[in-house]
Amino acid sequence: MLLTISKADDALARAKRGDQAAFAHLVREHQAMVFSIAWHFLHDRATAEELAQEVFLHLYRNLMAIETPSHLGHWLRKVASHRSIDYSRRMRLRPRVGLDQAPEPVTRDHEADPLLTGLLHRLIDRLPERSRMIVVLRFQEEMEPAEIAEVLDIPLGTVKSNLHRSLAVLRGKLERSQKGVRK
Amino acid sequence: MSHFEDQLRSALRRKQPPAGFEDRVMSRVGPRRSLTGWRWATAAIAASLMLSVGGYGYRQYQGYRAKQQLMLALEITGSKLALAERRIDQLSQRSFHE
Repeated sequence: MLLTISKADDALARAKRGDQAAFAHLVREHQAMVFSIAWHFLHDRATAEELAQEVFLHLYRNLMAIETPSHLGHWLRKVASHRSIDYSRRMRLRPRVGLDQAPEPVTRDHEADPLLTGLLHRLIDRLPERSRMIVVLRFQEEMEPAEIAEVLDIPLGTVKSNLHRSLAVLRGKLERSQKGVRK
Repeated sequence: MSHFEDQLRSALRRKQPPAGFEDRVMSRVGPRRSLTGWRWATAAIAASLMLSVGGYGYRQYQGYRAKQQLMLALEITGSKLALAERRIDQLSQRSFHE
């Protein structure tokens, strides 16, 4: 554990001194996290990759402001989340409707995990932007509501109520869709 | 922890980006310029130049303020002297008629 922290510290320090190999190490270490936030939020592979690249370029230009490896993780989550939300708002990739009004997804078999995963992705995709990012950060990044509030710059109460409501709606939609298939 | 939350966790597992992601990021990253050697010297010269220019400007401003204050003081003194002169004239005219 100590060795890992010290290695991460070392890579950050070297990257700040202009060591390209050390920066590549930081990219390698965090690419799955940054890419997945964008991908789970936008559901568009090419856009998620482009956005993730932009996040790392932004990091490269702002490396001197990063103090510790944990600060780096927090910074990347914050920038990836905000950029994903901004991109979605700007581009409006597809017309969004409230989850309550969304039609039930058409599925044939929920026993197989890939299908269930696909169904959950479609349901999450229909959540409003902020709720969607809260769910992604909670279940992809295992972040506590207080951490999510800090990353998204919103009150803790808003995160908690949003998460509670999103989970209730998602659970209800999932159950209804599974019952519909069993009939 | 509910089964449903586990399902969400599983659906939202981290995924690796497409192969070659790191190379594509690194190809967009230019060489970092660090402030070493002559860059520090240039920065120091520029900073001292800015301080000198700033100091000169401040001294000029102080001189201008002092000049303005002196002019105001002279103006007040002049008006007071004129007033005193008028009063003396009035008094001397009154004593002359009496």
